[in-house]
Formats: sequence, structure tokens, C-alpha cells
Amino acid sequence: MSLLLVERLTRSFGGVRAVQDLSFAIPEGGIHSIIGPNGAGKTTLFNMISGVLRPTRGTIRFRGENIAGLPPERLAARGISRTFQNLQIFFNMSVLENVLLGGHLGLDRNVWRALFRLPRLRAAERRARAEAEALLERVGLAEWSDAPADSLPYGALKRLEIARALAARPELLLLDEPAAGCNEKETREIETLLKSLVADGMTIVLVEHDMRLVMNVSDHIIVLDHGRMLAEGRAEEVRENPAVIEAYLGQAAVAGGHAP
Amino acid sequence: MRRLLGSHHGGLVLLVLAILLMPLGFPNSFYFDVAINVGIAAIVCIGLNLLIGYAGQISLGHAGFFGIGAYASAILTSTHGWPPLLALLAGILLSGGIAFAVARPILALKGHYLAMATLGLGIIISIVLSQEVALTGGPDGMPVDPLTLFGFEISGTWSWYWLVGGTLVLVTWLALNLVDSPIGRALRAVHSSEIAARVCGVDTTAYKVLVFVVSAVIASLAGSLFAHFSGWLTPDEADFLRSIQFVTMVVLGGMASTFGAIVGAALLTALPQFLTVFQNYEHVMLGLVMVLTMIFMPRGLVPTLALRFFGDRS
Ligand SMILES: Nc1ncnc2c1ncn2[C@@H]1O[C@H](COP(=O)(O)OP(=O)(O)O)[C@@H](O)[C@H]1O
Ligand SMILES: [Mg+2]
Repeated sequence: MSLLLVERLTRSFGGVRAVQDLSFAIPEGGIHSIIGPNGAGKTTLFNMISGVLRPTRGTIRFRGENIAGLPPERLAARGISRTFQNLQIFFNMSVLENVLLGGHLGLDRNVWRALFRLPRLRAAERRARAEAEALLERVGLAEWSDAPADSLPYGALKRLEIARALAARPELLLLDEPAAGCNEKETREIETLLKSLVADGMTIVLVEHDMRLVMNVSDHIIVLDHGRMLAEGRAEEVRENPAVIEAYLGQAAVAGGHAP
Repeated sequence: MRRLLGSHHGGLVLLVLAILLMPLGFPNSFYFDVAINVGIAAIVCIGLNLLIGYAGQISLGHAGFFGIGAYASAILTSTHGWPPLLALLAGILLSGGIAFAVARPILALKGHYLAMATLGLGIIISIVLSQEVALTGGPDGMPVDPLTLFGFEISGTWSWYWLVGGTLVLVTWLALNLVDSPIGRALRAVHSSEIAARVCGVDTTAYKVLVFVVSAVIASLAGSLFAHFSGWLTPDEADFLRSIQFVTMVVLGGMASTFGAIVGAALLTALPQFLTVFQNYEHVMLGLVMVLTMIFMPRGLVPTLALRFFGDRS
């Protein structure tokens, strides 16, 4: 059974069909990339899968159950986490606190224990801090732990969002352009990180414009154009698909440049 | 010094020291009166700061909850002969209940709409308190019995000073604990990005309701203390100007700073007592303080000073 099964999914904004009649399946495990030119509907798709937007039509099945239209906090509880293309960092908190908030559902949320800071809460907080530190280490932000989030450079904030999403121990991780604005070195670190997450059994859906990263890590690629699926397959299949070259990679190739 | 102020309990130690040592410099009982009123306002502001400063939700009607607490204590003790502690708890239940009942629809609103809705709520409460003459004595006010706790009557400035000081320390400690917990982080997340908070599993509505109720309950507690302390209660204590005072205290002291709330309450309670200009033009002065704070230090006094002297950004 697929981990995620999207069937005839449509989302319109007024007259604009951002996603139309889209169907695909994501099996458990591995990295599944969704590529396509700007405005293809990738972020809109993520917004629907994570509950931020309601679909106009269609179903989204996660482990067989239709989750279309459920609110984000319920989907988080079911194991879906995401990052945002336009950063949504909690700038009024420290780096570590951002990660701690990512693990919110696994923490002690009893009001009385919080008000009186009872030992049980203190112990749980200590454990959570240790785990959050470990995650920061994993994304290469260990030395920033106590810094205010608004003191971090852009590339570091991208990785902070990944650490925050990981703190929820998701089964399905949606990454919206994690390498955008990152330099070569940072992009390679993200590549290593993604591979190690998959080795731990996580399922990742990746939206990314950096084609080298996509081709290096993807087990499976879906190409979107104008909200519809243009092609689907393994990296080399997609790369050689004439429709893809024509509609997407082709634009730049015709112009004499490199693929975007 | 920096570690002391920055750490969780360092600030609390300073607060306790300030409360213990201040009376040494008080020349007469007028200063005790002012200090007690500062403490009562500070208690309200600590709660209000959880709502405004941490969760980012405005309320222009919190004097309403202060008034409910005050009148619950006044009416239940003086008219019905209830023990003061029970009356205080009844006020808390009533304030908390009303806050809980209205929180969902009100906190679904944002920005100006939320401000208008809470303003309306405060006005309704204050009108009810002035109009129910049979119950509250109307605009002329009503007398309030002295406070007795476990058989002891709290009378005289010293006992009131310690009672309010102790309550302030307790409320400060609880607020600091709450802020530095998963719940406090969820509140700050709601302030920063509701969508990211929800994606992280935070039920933003539930937390807004929670913090609204908590802040209302704290205001109610302070109102009950105030009623017994002053011995005479008028609906002015629950009116719009009072709500604006509380908000200005929070903004001046520094949003998202528990000690800022105390400092703001101290300045805006004490200044009118010592500067007659301030007293005579209170509306104008409050407006002026608000405007100047917004222009020159939008983060408020305590966070701005902490940043300047200790490079502490929190
Ligand atoms: N909230 C919105 N309101 C109106 N139009 C939107 C909204 N979000 C996305 N769109 C439109 O939907 C289309 C797809 O956008 P998006 O999903 O962001 O594409 P991508 O992430 O692939 O670049 C675009 O035409 C965009 O303008
Ligand atoms: Mg996008």
C-alpha cells in the first residue's frame, strides 16, 4: 500500500487552477521529488497535503485514510511534517526553542505541571532539549543552539526549518525548496542529510529547483506543469523524457543556458 | 549581573529583594499605598502580558475582568456575608467562565477586529456594573468588607504590603514557569507564525483560549485584592480608561517580558501619584507614553535596556 495516494486532486484560486486533476502515489521510504517551473503548483500541492489549504476537489490518502481538508495540527499528529518555501521561522525564539516547538506533540503539555514546573516536566524538558541539540548537530547548527533565531543567516534558517520538522519524528517529510538560497557546500550538506534520513526509514517528498541535488537523491520524480502531471519515473527516465525537455528543461537549453 | 537577570530565577530573586528592601526607603504610609497599588496593577499586567506580549493577542477590555473579580468580592462578602477567600474564588470562576465562553468567537478575530471585540466586551461589563444599581450601588460605588484570611483580618498597610508583594512574587513565578514550558513556546509560536505553529501540531485556537482565560483569572484575582484593599468600589475600576492603562503598562514595560510588565505597572501607577500634571491629564499622558514608546522603543523599556546594557536579546 502507498504511504500517500493522491487522487484527482484539484485546487483553484478564483479562475486559476493551481493544481488540476492530479493523481500519483508515493510508496513508503525513499526520496520522491516534485519538480516543475515556477507556478506549476508544487507549493499548492504541499499546502493541501499538510492541511494548510483545503482541496477544491479530490482525495489525499495517508496510510489509506482520506486526510483531505483535515487541519494541519491533526495531520502533524498523524506524522506529516513540512518546511516552507518562504521561511516560517519563529523569530521570537531561540534556535533551540524552534526545534523544541517542532516536537510540541511529544512534550508534556499539562498546564499545572508547567505552571509549577514540577519535576516530571523538568525531566521531560531536559530530555527534549538533549534531543533538540542532537537534531541541531545533525543539520550542522549545534553551535547556534542558544542564539536568537533572527540572528541566523538564510541558509542556516533553511536547515533550522528541517530540524524543526524532524523534531516531530514524522513519517512523511515534505521539503519545499530546502536548498534555495544555499551555497554549494550547504547544498551538499543537505544532500547528505536527506540520504541519512532515508537510511533511517523516513519518506521524503522534495520540491527543489537545484537539478543536481534532485538527480542525485531522487528515487522517483514527478514533473508538474500548470498544475498537471507532465511525467513521472526514475531520474534518468525523466531526464530523457522529450515532453519534460520540451516544457521544462528545454526552455533553458533552447536559450543556450543550463537547466534551471 | 547579566546571568542573574537573564536566568529564570535571578529576576525573581531581584524582585523579592526589591519588595523586602523598598519599605526601608518609605517615609510615610502614602508610599505603601502607592506600592500596594503598583503590586495589584503589576499582577494584572503579568497576566495581560501573557496574552499580548507572548501570544500576540490584544485585549482592550481586561479591566472588565478586574471589575468582575472586584465586584464578586464586594457583593458576595458585604451583601451576602461569604468568606472573602470563597468570594475571590467565585470571582475567578466567573471571570474564567466568561473568558472561556467568549474566547473562541473573539479570538478567531485578528488585529483591529480583535481589539474592537475585546473593547466591546470590556464596555459591556463596565455598563452592567454601573447599571445594576441594586447590586453594585451604581456609579456611586459600594463599600467592601475588609479581607480576612483564615481568621486573620488583613488591615494596616504592612499586612497589605506583604500580602500583595507575596501574591506578586507567586504570580511572577507562575508566569515565568509557564513561559518557559512547552505551553509558553506554543504561545510564542502563535504570535510568530500561526501557520507554522499549526503545522508543528499546535492547536492554536486552544492555546489562545487558554491564555485568554489565564489572563482573565489573574485580572480577577487582582480585582478582588483591590476591592478589599480600597474598601470602596466604583465602576471606574472596570472602565475603558483602566483597560487602556493596563495595556499601556504592558507596552511601556516591554512586551514579552514578565519583569517589563512589572516595571510598566510601577511607572504608570506611581507617576500620577507623584506628578500632578500626570494626574490632571491622565488620558493625554497615557496617549503620549504609548506614542513615544512606539516611536522610540517599540520593544518596551525592559527589553530595550537589557539589550543595551547586557547585549541580551531576550
Ligand atoms: N493563495 C493563493 N492565492 C491565489 N493564487 C495562488 C495562491 N497560491 C498559489 N497561487 C497560484 O497558483 C499557482 C501555483 O502556485 P504555487 O503552488 O506556488 O507554484 P510553485 O510552488 O510550483 O511555484 C500560481 O499561478 C500561483 O500564482
Ligand atoms: Mg513554490
